[in-house]
Amino acid sequence: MSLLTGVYGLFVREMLKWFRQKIHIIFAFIVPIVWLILFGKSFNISYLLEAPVGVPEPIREAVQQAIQLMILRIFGTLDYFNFFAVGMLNAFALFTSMWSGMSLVFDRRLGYLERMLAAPIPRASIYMAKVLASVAKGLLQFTVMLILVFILGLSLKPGINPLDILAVYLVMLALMLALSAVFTATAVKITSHDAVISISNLVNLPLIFTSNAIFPVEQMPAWLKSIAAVNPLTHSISLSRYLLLGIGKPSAMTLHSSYLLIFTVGCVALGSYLASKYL
Amino acid sequence: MREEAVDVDALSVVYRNSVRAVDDVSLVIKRGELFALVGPNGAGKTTLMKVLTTLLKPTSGRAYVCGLDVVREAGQVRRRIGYVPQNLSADDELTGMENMLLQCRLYGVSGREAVKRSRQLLEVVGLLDAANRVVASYSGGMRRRLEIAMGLVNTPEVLFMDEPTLGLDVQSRLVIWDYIKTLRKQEDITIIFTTHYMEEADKLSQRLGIIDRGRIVALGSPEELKRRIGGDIIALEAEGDVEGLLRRLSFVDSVSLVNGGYRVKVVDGEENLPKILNTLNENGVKVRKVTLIKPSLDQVFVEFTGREYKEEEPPDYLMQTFIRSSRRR
Ligand SMILES: Nc1ncnc2c1ncn2[C@@H]1O[C@H](COP(=O)(O)OP(=O)(O)O)[C@@H](O)[C@H]1O
Ligand SMILES: [Mg+2]
Repeated sequence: MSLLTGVYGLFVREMLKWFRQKIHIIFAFIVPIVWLILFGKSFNISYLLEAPVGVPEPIREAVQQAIQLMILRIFGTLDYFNFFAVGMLNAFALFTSMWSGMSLVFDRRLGYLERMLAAPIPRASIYMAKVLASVAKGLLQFTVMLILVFILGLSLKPGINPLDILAVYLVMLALMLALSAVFTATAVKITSHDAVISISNLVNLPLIFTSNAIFPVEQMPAWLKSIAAVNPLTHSISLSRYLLLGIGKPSAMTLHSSYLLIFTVGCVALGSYLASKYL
Repeated sequence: MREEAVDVDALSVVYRNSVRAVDDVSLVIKRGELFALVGPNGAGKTTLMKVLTTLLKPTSGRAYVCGLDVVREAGQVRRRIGYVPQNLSADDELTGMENMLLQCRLYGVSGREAVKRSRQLLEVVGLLDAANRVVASYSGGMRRRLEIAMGLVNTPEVLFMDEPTLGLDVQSRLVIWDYIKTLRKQEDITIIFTTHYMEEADKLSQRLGIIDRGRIVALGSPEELKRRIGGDIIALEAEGDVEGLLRRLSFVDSVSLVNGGYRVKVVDGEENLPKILNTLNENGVKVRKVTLIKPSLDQVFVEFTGREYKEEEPPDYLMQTFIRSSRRR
């Protein structure tokens, strides 16, 4: 039997269960809306930094111009919502992937894991099916969010073409694969759902704050910068901002994509190894 | 090459908390047998079965299923066996049919063949009408039947069933017995099941092993084992020199003490019970209680362990299995 025996069936199982639990679906799509609309639209940096009215007109114009240049330098776009929304698309890849271990915990509890372990399929298949299902859910959620941010006024870079969108999907695929691989692997040995929840909660916000999801890396202190440099989110966010908004130097993208690729391959390989050894 | 269905040699399993769940067990089960492993809760039935189904590595000793080493050739063993676990483990958010199709896929059967086989097996266990309902809506008996059907998708050479009637009412248990018997008749299959109901092992199996505290204490056909008691048993509660008085009687085989009562083994109990009572009476022994017991597997258990057989589940039984299943293997 091949390495992938059973993956398809188990993947379909995960998806069936997900679609059947209406509550999962609602959460998967309502929570991003809350973040995007309530958080994304409540912070309007262009308004906050408008030159005050009392300033004499010619100077005011100049100041206003200077401020706009400054915002553009920091965020790469005049509307912070653009910057934030793309960050959030990536953040939600994390928020969704970090629960990927839970279904393994429950399968262990409810005895289904034993059933899978008794079947003549590779241990890694059980693991990969969970990872792929988590990625599929993430990509569906991503699609809905992409449409939503567009409706909310995301201004795509001029002359964007379908290949850019395809490339963003590949970036998200890589990111979700890597993160789901890591979080599913935590549940290979950890058998209590409390522990898995704690781990997820412990790492999720730090991962967001040490990336450029909400604030640009350039203005961080050096020690934070070096953490951001190894955080896969930084790289996927830079790539997706480049592809969707045209922010960032084209020359930097090779580094970002190489890092993301290597990180993803590493995580999936390590996770599969742990699963085949310890599941 | 027709190796034995199961060949276990000096097998022990010690859990991390140093519980010796299986203790130096050796056992051969031939092809085509309907074999029962019977014993009280915590005797080690599930543990032994997990070793045979490759889910647990033994601490020492060897086990072969269909001539294959369960540790070194685990993958091959898995392909040839079916396993119906003690805990209900079909996915209850999926329908019966979906569970069957998925189970087929796990054993490399897909497409039309999977649908055909699933329908066939669901029909055998009488679940075709409920095939498209989610398992959460099934009764306990239906769920057990589904579990059995799921254990058969790969037409296994050896089918392992861990307490297939656990938690069922009498009616549903009889239905499961019927399926097991039919299965046994139709297919060239070895069936090994565990139970803590002595009566079930007696009625259903061709051969059985009684397991207690990790050890096989008796092995044979139900008739053989009952014959080994060598007569009927008269249980007595009385004060005085019961042992001394009764040992003198020619038809009394042995007298022993179990749980503060006397166990008197006699030939032809109906005939000799009055004589025993007379003897005791004449010698001034006051008999408080007397029971005539025909040979049964319960008595075989007492015979080999010196303890009464209690088959009722401890009250925290479900809780224990819950904790156990969530614990690391
Ligand atoms: N995972 C485990 N860790 C530690 N002890 C266990 C574990 N599983 C079972 N045991 C212990 O091993 C013994 C045998 O258990 P088990 O094989 O489940 O018996 P049975 O199936 O006959 O009821 C019991 O004392 C039980 O408490
Ligand atoms: Mg058991």
